[in-house]
Amino acid sequence: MTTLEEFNSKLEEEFDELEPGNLKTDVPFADQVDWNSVNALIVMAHLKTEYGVDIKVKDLQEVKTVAQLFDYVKRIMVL
Amino acid sequence: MGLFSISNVGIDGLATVVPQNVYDNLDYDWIPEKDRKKLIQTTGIAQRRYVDEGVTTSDLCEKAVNELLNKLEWERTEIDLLVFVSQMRDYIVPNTATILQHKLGLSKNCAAFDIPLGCSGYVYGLSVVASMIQSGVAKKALLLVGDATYRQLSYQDKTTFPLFGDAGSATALSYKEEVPPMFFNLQTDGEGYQAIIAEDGGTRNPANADSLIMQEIQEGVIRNKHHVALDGLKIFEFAVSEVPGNIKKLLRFAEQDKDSIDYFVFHQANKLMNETLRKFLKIPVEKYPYSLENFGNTSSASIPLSINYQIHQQASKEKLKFLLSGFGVGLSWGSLILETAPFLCLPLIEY
Repeated sequence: MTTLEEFNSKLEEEFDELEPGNLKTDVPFADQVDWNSVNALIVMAHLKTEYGVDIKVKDLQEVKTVAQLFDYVKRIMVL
Repeated sequence: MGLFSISNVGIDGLATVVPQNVYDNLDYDWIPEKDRKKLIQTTGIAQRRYVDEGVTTSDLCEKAVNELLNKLEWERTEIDLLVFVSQMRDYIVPNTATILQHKLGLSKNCAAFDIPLGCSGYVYGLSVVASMIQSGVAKKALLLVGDATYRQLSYQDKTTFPLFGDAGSATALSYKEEVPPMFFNLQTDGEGYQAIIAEDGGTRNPANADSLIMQEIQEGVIRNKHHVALDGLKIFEFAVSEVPGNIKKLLRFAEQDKDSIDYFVFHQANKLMNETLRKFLKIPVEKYPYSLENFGNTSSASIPLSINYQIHQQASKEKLKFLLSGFGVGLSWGSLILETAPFLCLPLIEY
Protein backbone atom coordinates (compact mmCIF):
# COMPACT_ATOMS: atom_id res chain seq x y z
CA MET A 1 0.00 0.00 0.00
CA THR A 2 1.60 3.26 -1.17
CA THR A 3 1.00 6.32 1.01
CA LEU A 4 0.59 9.88 -0.22
CA GLU A 5 4.04 10.66 1.22
CA GLU A 6 5.68 7.77 -0.69
CA PHE A 7 3.81 8.74 -3.87
CA ASN A 8 5.00 12.34 -3.49
CA SER A 9 8.57 11.39 -2.73
CA LYS A 10 8.88 9.35 -5.94
CA LEU A 11 7.12 11.99 -8.03
CA GLU A 12 9.31 14.88 -6.91
CA GLU A 13 12.44 13.06 -8.10
CA GLU A 14 11.17 13.75 -11.63
CA PHE A 15 11.44 17.54 -11.20
CA ASP A 16 15.08 18.58 -11.59
CA GLU A 17 14.37 22.09 -10.35
CA LEU A 18 13.12 20.91 -6.94
CA GLU A 19 15.27 20.09 -3.93
CA PRO A 20 14.16 16.83 -2.22
CA GLY A 21 11.37 17.32 0.30
CA ASN A 22 10.13 20.55 -1.26
CA LEU A 23 7.15 19.34 -3.32
CA LYS A 24 4.02 20.06 -1.28
CA THR A 25 1.06 17.73 -1.71
CA ASP A 26 -1.65 20.36 -1.20
CA VAL A 27 -0.17 23.29 -3.15
CA PRO A 28 -0.89 23.58 -6.91
CA PHE A 29 1.86 22.24 -9.19
CA ALA A 30 1.80 25.57 -11.02
CA ASP A 31 2.92 27.40 -7.84
CA GLN A 32 5.86 25.03 -7.27
CA VAL A 33 7.27 24.07 -10.67
CA ASP A 34 7.19 25.40 -14.21
CA TRP A 35 3.91 23.62 -15.06
CA ASN A 36 4.44 23.39 -18.84
CA SER A 37 3.74 20.62 -21.35
CA VAL A 38 7.17 19.04 -20.83
CA ASN A 39 6.57 18.62 -17.10
CA ALA A 40 3.05 17.33 -17.84
CA LEU A 41 4.62 14.70 -20.13
CA ILE A 42 7.09 13.79 -17.40
CA VAL A 43 4.19 13.22 -14.96
CA MET A 44 2.35 11.06 -17.54
CA ALA A 45 5.51 9.01 -18.12
CA HIS A 46 6.06 8.62 -14.36
CA LEU A 47 2.51 7.31 -13.77
CA LYS A 48 2.86 4.79 -16.60
CA THR A 49 6.23 3.42 -15.59
CA GLU A 50 5.71 3.43 -11.80
CA TYR A 51 2.04 2.43 -11.59
CA GLY A 52 1.03 1.32 -15.12
CA VAL A 53 -1.59 4.09 -15.09
CA ASP A 54 -2.66 5.95 -18.24
CA ILE A 55 -3.89 9.43 -17.41
CA LYS A 56 -5.90 11.29 -20.05
CA VAL A 57 -4.64 14.76 -20.99
CA LYS A 58 -8.01 16.29 -20.10
CA ASP A 59 -7.91 14.65 -16.65
CA LEU A 60 -4.35 15.82 -16.02
CA GLN A 61 -5.42 19.37 -16.87
CA GLU A 62 -8.01 19.20 -14.08
CA VAL A 63 -5.62 17.81 -11.49
CA LYS A 64 -4.04 20.73 -9.62
CA THR A 65 -2.08 19.15 -6.74
CA VAL A 66 -0.11 16.03 -5.84
CA ALA A 67 -2.93 14.99 -3.47
CA GLN A 68 -5.48 15.18 -6.30
CA LEU A 69 -3.16 13.18 -8.59
CA PHE A 70 -2.76 10.55 -5.85
CA ASP A 71 -6.55 10.28 -5.57
CA TYR A 72 -6.83 9.86 -9.36
CA VAL A 73 -4.29 7.03 -9.38
CA LYS A 74 -5.95 5.39 -6.37
CA ARG A 75 -9.30 5.35 -8.18
CA ILE A 76 -7.75 3.40 -11.05
CA MET A 77 -5.66 0.99 -9.04
CA VAL A 78 -5.30 -0.18 -5.47
CA LEU A 79 -2.10 1.40 -4.20
CA MET B 1 -6.62 -6.72 -40.65
CA GLY B 2 -5.51 -6.62 -37.04
CA LEU B 3 -3.51 -9.79 -36.42
CA PHE B 4 -2.21 -11.88 -39.34
CA SER B 5 0.86 -13.69 -40.63
CA ILE B 6 2.65 -13.76 -43.99
CA SER B 7 4.83 -16.63 -45.22
CA ASN B 8 7.53 -17.10 -47.85
CA VAL B 9 8.92 -13.59 -47.81
CA GLY B 10 12.41 -12.56 -46.75
CA ILE B 11 14.56 -9.44 -46.58
CA ASP B 12 17.55 -9.34 -48.94
CA GLY B 13 18.88 -5.87 -48.27
CA LEU B 14 18.42 -2.66 -46.29
CA ALA B 15 19.97 0.78 -46.77
CA THR B 16 19.24 4.17 -45.20
CA VAL B 17 20.41 7.56 -46.46
CA VAL B 18 20.63 10.74 -44.33
CA PRO B 19 21.57 14.24 -45.52
CA GLN B 20 25.07 15.51 -44.65
CA ASN B 21 23.75 18.71 -43.03
CA VAL B 22 23.79 18.50 -39.22
CA TYR B 23 21.54 20.71 -37.07
CA ASP B 24 22.71 20.90 -33.46
CA ASN B 25 19.80 21.55 -31.10
CA LEU B 26 22.13 23.49 -28.77
CA ASP B 27 22.17 26.14 -31.54
CA TYR B 28 18.34 26.42 -31.63
CA ASP B 29 18.19 30.06 -30.52
CA TRP B 30 14.40 30.40 -30.83
CA ILE B 31 14.34 29.23 -27.19
CA PRO B 32 16.64 30.20 -24.25
CA GLU B 33 19.83 28.14 -23.74
CA LYS B 34 18.51 26.66 -20.48
CA ASP B 35 15.41 25.40 -22.29
CA ARG B 36 17.53 23.91 -25.09
CA LYS B 37 19.40 21.74 -22.57
CA LYS B 38 16.12 20.63 -20.97
CA LEU B 39 14.69 19.89 -24.41
CA ILE B 40 17.69 17.74 -25.35
CA GLN B 41 17.52 15.93 -22.00
CA THR B 42 13.78 15.21 -22.32
CA THR B 43 13.59 14.36 -26.01
CA GLY B 44 17.02 12.73 -26.24
CA ILE B 45 17.52 14.58 -29.53
CA ALA B 46 20.88 16.39 -29.69
CA GLN B 47 21.29 16.60 -33.46
CA ARG B 48 19.31 16.09 -36.62
CA ARG B 49 20.06 15.88 -40.33
CA TYR B 50 18.28 18.09 -42.85
CA VAL B 51 18.06 18.25 -46.62
CA ASP B 52 19.27 21.11 -48.81
CA GLU B 53 16.57 23.14 -50.52
CA GLY B 54 15.34 21.23 -53.57
CA VAL B 55 16.23 17.80 -52.16
CA THR B 56 13.24 15.58 -51.40
CA THR B 57 12.52 12.33 -49.60
CA SER B 58 12.46 10.51 -52.92
CA ASP B 59 16.01 11.73 -53.68
CA LEU B 60 17.23 10.15 -50.43
CA CYS B 61 15.37 6.92 -51.19
CA GLU B 62 16.66 6.85 -54.78
CA LYS B 63 20.23 6.97 -53.48
CA ALA B 64 19.44 4.21 -50.96
CA VAL B 65 18.15 1.97 -53.81
CA ASN B 66 21.18 2.65 -56.01
CA GLU B 67 23.61 1.85 -53.18
CA LEU B 68 21.68 -1.33 -52.42
CA LEU B 69 21.39 -2.53 -56.01
CA ASN B 70 25.10 -1.86 -56.60
CA LYS B 71 25.87 -4.53 -54.02
CA LEU B 72 22.86 -6.84 -54.31
CA GLU B 73 22.94 -9.31 -57.20
CA TRP B 74 19.60 -8.18 -58.61
CA GLU B 75 18.83 -7.04 -62.16
CA ARG B 76 16.70 -3.91 -62.25
CA THR B 77 14.47 -5.57 -64.84
CA GLU B 78 13.57 -8.32 -62.32
CA ILE B 79 11.98 -5.89 -59.85
CA ASP B 80 8.22 -6.11 -60.24
CA LEU B 81 6.98 -3.98 -57.33
CA LEU B 82 7.99 -0.59 -55.92
CA VAL B 83 6.15 0.94 -52.96
CA PHE B 84 7.03 4.42 -51.69
CA VAL B 85 5.84 5.19 -48.15
CA SER B 86 6.05 8.88 -47.27
CA GLN B 87 4.04 11.89 -46.20
CA MET B 88 6.47 14.18 -47.99
CA ARG B 89 5.82 13.18 -51.58
CA ASP B 90 7.25 15.11 -54.56
CA TYR B 91 3.78 16.21 -55.76
CA ILE B 92 0.16 15.86 -54.70
CA VAL B 93 -0.41 14.51 -58.23
CA PRO B 94 1.08 12.17 -59.47
CA ASN B 95 2.41 9.46 -57.16
CA THR B 96 6.14 9.66 -56.41
CA ALA B 97 6.61 5.90 -56.83
CA THR B 98 5.87 6.18 -60.55
CA ILE B 99 8.55 8.87 -60.95
CA LEU B 100 11.02 6.69 -59.06
CA GLN B 101 10.24 3.68 -61.29
CA HIS B 102 11.52 5.70 -64.26
CA LYS B 103 14.48 7.32 -62.48
CA LEU B 104 15.63 3.96 -61.18
CA GLY B 105 15.43 2.35 -64.62
CA LEU B 106 12.90 -0.28 -63.57
CA SER B 107 10.78 -2.25 -66.01
CA LYS B 108 7.39 -1.00 -67.27
CA ASN B 109 6.03 -4.26 -65.86
CA CYS B 110 6.82 -3.00 -62.37
CA ALA B 111 3.79 -2.01 -60.26
CA ALA B 112 4.47 1.24 -58.38
CA PHE B 113 2.40 3.25 -55.92
CA ASP B 114 2.59 5.46 -52.82
CA ILE B 115 1.35 4.90 -49.29
CA PRO B 116 1.17 8.26 -47.47
CA LEU B 117 1.69 7.06 -43.89
CA GLY B 118 4.14 8.44 -41.32
CA CYS B 119 5.49 6.92 -38.12
CA SER B 120 3.75 3.55 -38.66
CA GLY B 121 4.75 3.50 -42.34
CA TYR B 122 7.62 1.01 -42.26
CA VAL B 123 5.51 -1.69 -40.60
CA TYR B 124 2.53 -0.99 -42.87
CA GLY B 125 4.76 -0.88 -45.94
CA LEU B 126 6.30 -4.24 -45.07
CA SER B 127 2.81 -5.73 -44.63
CA VAL B 128 1.67 -4.55 -48.09
CA VAL B 129 4.82 -5.57 -49.94
CA ALA B 130 5.08 -8.93 -48.17
CA SER B 131 1.38 -9.66 -48.87
CA MET B 132 1.84 -8.95 -52.56
CA ILE B 133 4.90 -11.20 -52.71
CA GLN B 134 3.14 -14.00 -50.81
CA SER B 135 0.14 -13.82 -53.14
CA GLY B 136 2.34 -14.09 -56.24
CA VAL B 137 1.82 -10.54 -57.52
CA ALA B 138 5.54 -9.87 -57.17
CA LYS B 139 8.72 -11.90 -56.70
CA LYS B 140 11.26 -9.14 -56.09
CA ALA B 141 10.18 -5.85 -54.56
CA LEU B 142 11.53 -2.56 -53.26
CA LEU B 143 10.01 -0.78 -50.28
CA LEU B 144 11.14 2.85 -50.07
CA VAL B 145 10.29 4.55 -46.80
CA GLY B 146 11.13 7.94 -45.38
CA ASP B 147 10.33 11.57 -44.74
CA ALA B 148 12.26 14.78 -45.28
CA THR B 149 10.06 16.97 -43.10
CA TYR B 150 12.51 19.84 -42.48
CA ARG B 151 11.17 22.11 -45.20
CA GLN B 152 7.64 21.85 -43.82
CA LEU B 153 8.54 22.83 -40.25
CA SER B 154 8.34 26.29 -38.71
CA TYR B 155 11.63 27.41 -37.12
CA GLN B 156 9.48 29.37 -34.67
CA ASP B 157 7.64 26.27 -33.45
CA LYS B 158 9.51 24.78 -30.48
CA THR B 159 7.13 21.80 -30.43
CA THR B 160 8.16 20.51 -33.86
CA PHE B 161 11.32 22.13 -35.22
CA PRO B 162 13.85 20.55 -32.81
CA LEU B 163 12.32 17.08 -33.07
CA PHE B 164 12.25 15.99 -36.69
CA GLY B 165 15.12 14.82 -38.89
CA ASP B 166 15.26 13.75 -42.52
CA ALA B 167 16.04 10.26 -43.84
CA GLY B 168 15.08 7.85 -46.61
CA SER B 169 15.47 4.08 -46.78
CA ALA B 170 15.24 1.18 -49.20
CA THR B 171 14.38 -2.42 -48.32
CA ALA B 172 14.72 -5.25 -50.84
CA LEU B 173 12.34 -8.17 -50.33
CA SER B 174 11.76 -11.36 -52.31
CA TYR B 175 9.88 -14.65 -52.41
CA LYS B 176 11.71 -17.33 -50.42
CA GLU B 177 10.88 -20.91 -49.51
CA GLU B 178 11.27 -22.06 -45.93
CA VAL B 179 11.66 -18.77 -44.12
CA PRO B 180 9.87 -18.13 -40.82
CA PRO B 181 6.55 -16.29 -41.20
CA MET B 182 6.19 -12.60 -40.39
CA PHE B 183 3.53 -11.74 -37.80
CA PHE B 184 1.70 -8.41 -37.86
CA ASN B 185 -0.70 -6.43 -35.69
CA LEU B 186 -1.98 -3.29 -37.47
CA GLN B 187 -4.33 -0.75 -35.84
CA THR B 188 -5.91 2.65 -36.52
CA ASP B 189 -7.83 5.37 -34.67
CA GLY B 190 -8.75 8.22 -36.98
CA GLU B 191 -10.50 10.10 -34.20
CA GLY B 192 -7.07 11.48 -33.38
CA TYR B 193 -6.28 12.68 -36.92
CA GLN B 194 -5.64 16.25 -35.76
CA ALA B 195 -2.86 15.27 -33.34
CA ILE B 196 -0.27 15.64 -36.13
CA ILE B 197 -1.50 17.64 -39.09
CA ALA B 198 -0.54 20.05 -41.87
CA GLU B 199 -3.93 21.74 -42.25
CA ASP B 200 -3.69 23.39 -45.66
CA GLY B 201 -2.53 22.15 -49.03
CA GLY B 202 -4.76 19.12 -49.49
CA THR B 203 -8.30 19.10 -50.87
CA ARG B 204 -10.11 19.65 -47.53
CA ASN B 205 -8.35 23.01 -47.14
CA PRO B 206 -6.76 23.86 -50.49
CA ALA B 207 -3.67 26.09 -50.35
CA ASN B 208 -4.73 29.74 -50.43
CA ALA B 209 -3.29 33.17 -49.73
CA ASP B 210 -3.92 32.76 -46.00
CA SER B 211 -2.10 29.42 -45.79
CA LEU B 212 1.28 31.14 -45.46
CA ILE B 213 0.27 33.70 -42.81
CA MET B 214 2.28 33.07 -39.64
CA GLN B 215 0.11 32.86 -36.52
CA GLU B 216 1.07 32.72 -32.83
CA ILE B 217 -0.58 29.62 -31.38
CA GLN B 218 1.03 29.82 -27.92
CA GLU B 219 4.28 31.03 -26.39
CA GLY B 220 7.16 29.77 -28.53
CA VAL B 221 4.85 28.44 -31.24
CA ILE B 222 4.41 30.51 -34.40
CA ARG B 223 3.55 28.70 -37.62
CA ASN B 224 1.35 28.82 -40.71
CA LYS B 225 -1.25 26.32 -41.87
CA HIS B 226 1.14 24.71 -44.32
CA HIS B 227 3.53 23.75 -41.51
CA VAL B 228 3.29 20.47 -39.62
CA ALA B 229 1.60 20.93 -36.22
CA LEU B 230 2.03 18.43 -33.38
CA ASP B 231 0.01 17.92 -30.19
CA GLY B 232 2.71 16.22 -28.12
CA LEU B 233 0.48 15.48 -25.12
CA LYS B 234 -2.16 13.74 -27.27
CA ILE B 235 0.43 11.66 -29.08
CA PHE B 236 2.05 10.66 -25.80
CA GLU B 237 -1.32 9.73 -24.28
CA PHE B 238 -2.10 7.61 -27.35
CA ALA B 239 1.26 5.87 -27.65
CA VAL B 240 1.74 4.83 -24.02
CA SER B 241 -1.85 3.58 -23.73
CA GLU B 242 -2.11 1.70 -27.07
CA VAL B 243 1.34 0.42 -28.08
CA PRO B 244 2.02 -1.96 -25.14
CA GLY B 245 -1.28 -3.81 -25.70
CA ASN B 246 -0.63 -4.05 -29.43
CA ILE B 247 2.75 -5.68 -28.78
CA LYS B 248 1.51 -8.06 -26.08
CA LYS B 249 -1.30 -9.28 -28.37
CA LEU B 250 1.17 -9.76 -31.22
CA LEU B 251 3.50 -11.86 -29.06
CA ARG B 252 0.57 -14.04 -27.92
CA PHE B 253 -0.74 -14.43 -31.50
CA ALA B 254 2.70 -15.40 -32.80
CA GLU B 255 3.25 -17.72 -29.78
CA GLN B 256 6.58 -16.03 -29.20
CA ASP B 257 8.28 -15.43 -25.90
CA LYS B 258 9.39 -11.84 -25.33
CA ASP B 259 12.83 -13.06 -24.26
CA SER B 260 13.36 -14.77 -27.63
CA ILE B 261 13.36 -11.40 -29.43
CA ASP B 262 16.90 -10.18 -30.18
CA TYR B 263 15.97 -6.55 -30.90
CA PHE B 264 12.92 -4.40 -30.27
CA VAL B 265 13.27 -1.63 -32.85
CA PHE B 266 10.66 1.04 -32.14
CA HIS B 267 9.78 4.21 -33.99
CA GLN B 268 12.00 6.94 -32.59
CA ALA B 269 9.53 9.52 -31.27
CA ASN B 270 11.36 11.04 -28.31
CA LYS B 271 13.33 9.64 -25.40
CA LEU B 272 10.65 10.23 -22.79
CA MET B 273 8.04 8.33 -24.79
CA ASN B 274 10.39 5.57 -25.94
CA GLU B 275 11.79 5.02 -22.45
CA THR B 276 8.27 4.93 -20.95
CA LEU B 277 7.36 2.18 -23.42
CA ARG B 278 10.62 0.31 -22.82
CA LYS B 279 10.30 0.37 -19.03
CA PHE B 280 6.60 -0.55 -19.06
CA LEU B 281 7.26 -3.49 -21.40
CA LYS B 282 10.37 -4.47 -19.38
CA ILE B 283 12.64 -4.52 -22.44
CA PRO B 284 16.39 -4.61 -21.63
CA VAL B 285 18.13 -1.46 -22.84
CA GLU B 286 20.70 -3.48 -24.84
CA LYS B 287 17.86 -4.92 -26.95
CA TYR B 288 16.39 -1.50 -27.69
CA PRO B 289 18.48 0.39 -30.27
CA TYR B 290 18.22 4.17 -30.53
CA SER B 291 19.00 6.60 -33.31
CA LEU B 292 17.25 9.58 -31.68
CA GLU B 293 20.31 11.32 -30.26
CA ASN B 294 21.97 11.95 -33.61
CA PHE B 295 19.07 11.87 -36.06
CA GLY B 296 15.90 12.87 -34.17
CA ASN B 297 12.43 11.65 -35.12
CA THR B 298 12.79 10.59 -38.75
CA SER B 299 9.14 9.51 -39.09
CA SER B 300 8.71 6.29 -41.09
CA ALA B 301 12.48 6.00 -41.66
CA SER B 302 13.27 5.72 -37.96
CA ILE B 303 13.05 1.91 -37.77
CA PRO B 304 15.23 1.11 -40.82
CA LEU B 305 17.61 3.94 -39.83
CA SER B 306 18.05 2.48 -36.34
CA ILE B 307 18.82 -0.95 -37.82
CA ASN B 308 21.33 0.42 -40.36
CA TYR B 309 22.89 2.68 -37.72
CA GLN B 310 23.14 0.30 -34.76
CA ILE B 311 22.86 -3.31 -35.93
CA HIS B 312 24.14 -3.43 -39.51
CA GLN B 313 27.22 -5.54 -38.79
CA GLN B 314 25.34 -8.14 -36.75
CA ALA B 315 22.41 -8.31 -39.18
CA SER B 316 24.84 -8.95 -42.03
CA LYS B 317 26.34 -11.97 -40.26
CA GLU B 318 23.73 -13.56 -37.98
CA LYS B 319 20.15 -14.74 -37.87
CA LEU B 320 18.11 -12.27 -35.84
CA LYS B 321 14.59 -12.02 -34.52
CA PHE B 322 13.17 -8.50 -34.52
CA LEU B 323 10.05 -6.95 -33.08
CA LEU B 324 9.43 -3.69 -34.96
CA SER B 325 6.82 -1.16 -33.84
CA GLY B 326 5.71 2.09 -35.47
CA PHE B 327 3.17 4.51 -33.97
CA GLY B 328 1.99 8.08 -34.47
CA VAL B 329 0.35 10.31 -37.08
CA GLY B 330 -3.06 9.10 -38.21
CA LEU B 331 -3.44 7.87 -35.57
CA SER B 332 -1.92 4.72 -36.94
CA TRP B 333 0.17 2.03 -35.29
CA GLY B 334 1.45 -1.44 -35.99
CA SER B 335 3.98 -4.03 -34.91
CA LEU B 336 5.70 -6.91 -36.61
CA ILE B 337 7.79 -9.93 -35.64
CA LEU B 338 10.39 -10.65 -38.28
CA GLU B 339 13.15 -13.26 -38.36
CA THR B 340 16.02 -12.50 -40.70
CA ALA B 341 18.80 -14.63 -42.12
CA PRO B 342 22.05 -12.69 -42.70
CA PHE B 343 21.25 -10.01 -45.29
CA LEU B 344 22.92 -7.06 -46.96
CA CYS B 345 22.53 -4.47 -44.19
CA LEU B 346 24.58 -1.42 -45.16
CA PRO B 347 26.10 1.13 -42.80
CA LEU B 348 24.42 4.55 -42.93
CA ILE B 349 24.95 6.43 -46.18
CA GLU B 350 25.16 10.23 -46.53
CA TYR B 351 23.55 12.25 -49.32
